[in-house]
Amino acid sequence: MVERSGYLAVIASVEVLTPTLRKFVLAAQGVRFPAVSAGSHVVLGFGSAARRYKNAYSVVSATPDGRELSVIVRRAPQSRGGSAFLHDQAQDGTPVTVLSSANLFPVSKTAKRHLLLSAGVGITPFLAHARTLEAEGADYTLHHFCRPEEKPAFVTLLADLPPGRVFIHDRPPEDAGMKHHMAEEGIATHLYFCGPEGFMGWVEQAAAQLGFVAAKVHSEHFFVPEGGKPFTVVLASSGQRIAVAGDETLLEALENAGVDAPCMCRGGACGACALEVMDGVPEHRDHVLTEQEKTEGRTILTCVSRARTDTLTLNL
Amino acid sequence: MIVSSQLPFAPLVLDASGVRHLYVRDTADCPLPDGCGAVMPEIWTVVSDATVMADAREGEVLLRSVTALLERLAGRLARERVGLRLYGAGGASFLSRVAIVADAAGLATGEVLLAPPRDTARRVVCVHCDTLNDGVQADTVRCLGCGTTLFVREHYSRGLGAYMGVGEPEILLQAMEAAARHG
Repeated sequence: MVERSGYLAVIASVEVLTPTLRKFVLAAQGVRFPAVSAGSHVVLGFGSAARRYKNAYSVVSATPDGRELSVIVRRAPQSRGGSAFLHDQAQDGTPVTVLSSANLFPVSKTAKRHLLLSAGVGITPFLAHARTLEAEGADYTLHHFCRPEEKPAFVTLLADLPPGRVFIHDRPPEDAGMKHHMAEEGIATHLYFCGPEGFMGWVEQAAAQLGFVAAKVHSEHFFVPEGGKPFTVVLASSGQRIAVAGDETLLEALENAGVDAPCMCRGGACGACALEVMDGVPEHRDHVLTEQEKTEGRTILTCVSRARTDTLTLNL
Repeated sequence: MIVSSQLPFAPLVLDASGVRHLYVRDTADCPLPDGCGAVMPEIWTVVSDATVMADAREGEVLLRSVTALLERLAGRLARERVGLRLYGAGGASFLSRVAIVADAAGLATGEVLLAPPRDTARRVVCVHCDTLNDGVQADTVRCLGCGTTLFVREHYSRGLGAYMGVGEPEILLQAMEAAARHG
């Protein structure tokens, strides 16, 4: 299947950062990439003739002329195949389509100071943010948390930023005294964080205990939609029944069946893909719906959520 | 959706998510926020008495004027750490000036809580000459700067702490009349 829209590109270079992290530089073919601001993600379309993938990745850098942009991809242990494809099969010249881009994680332009906290591959949006903030002369500090064996790779990755701005910890935030550092922040500081779920939970809890208000707390829950139990989705308008396999998302199943379903972030963070559930019980995995909405079960985010029941009927 | 430009006034309740609390008021008549007791805010009160010294007295700081309080507040917020909740009570003019100081210090929604104002006097900015007219009670006011009769619009500038006043300046009326006479 050939993508009907998007910006055609090829992989210009692959850099192995750690055994699980690779940086891919994409070069535009023909039409240049749209301008991407720091914090943006792109949805990439790639794969083989047998299996196409559409995955969202944070843009770590982009040239101002729109000819190149870079993403870092972590090989997900429960990969549905996308990250494994990029790690195992992608090489220089592999075609990739930039299907869309959006910024769901900008910095607050009016903030006097920015505290950026990341763990693991959660560094990706902050690579762009830190360089932009540095270029603007803004006040910021980045704390990155990783495993000891990965520290040299992140030291290299962040080497161009001033040592006084960037701190790389090879211990968990609790052991590194991060809560104490957060408590010392001035009242004007905005807090940004991105990383695996356990890290996100720790920062959320610490921020709440220290009295950070919601207006100053910004996070991006990146996560790879995981597979699960296969089920069947029924489209109410046409009665069409579509099988959702264990290793594909509901959204992917709809797209593979030629259904024009809404979507944007493909990671349960933006809410653009929300559809009304008419029958069946959803298994919610997103960060958008409120607890009440999840309990009511009338709405589902197709990019990450699945079904508890064998069939799920959608108002589509 | 209509987005109001007004300050978000609401009856004051101590916000348990804060770790330090500061309550500023332009008169001692303003009651403490609801929920005070086990947790008490630091209290700053304007007493309008030139002999007052700004010493803490039983947890309360007395200030001799609104200006003195706002200057002290700006200094305090510049050194303040995350977790403070600022509460304000008093007249509309006082509250608008507290909001300006808090905004300048980088406080955000949720960190500044303002009680419904105790008076209806508004500050009005003349869009023709930029003069600030204080204590406007009616819907119209003759501008102290250019003499234009201003109609007070429900458009509040958080930066100026004032409502927009719009009129037809005398010079404009004269020009229009002259143009009409000479065809």
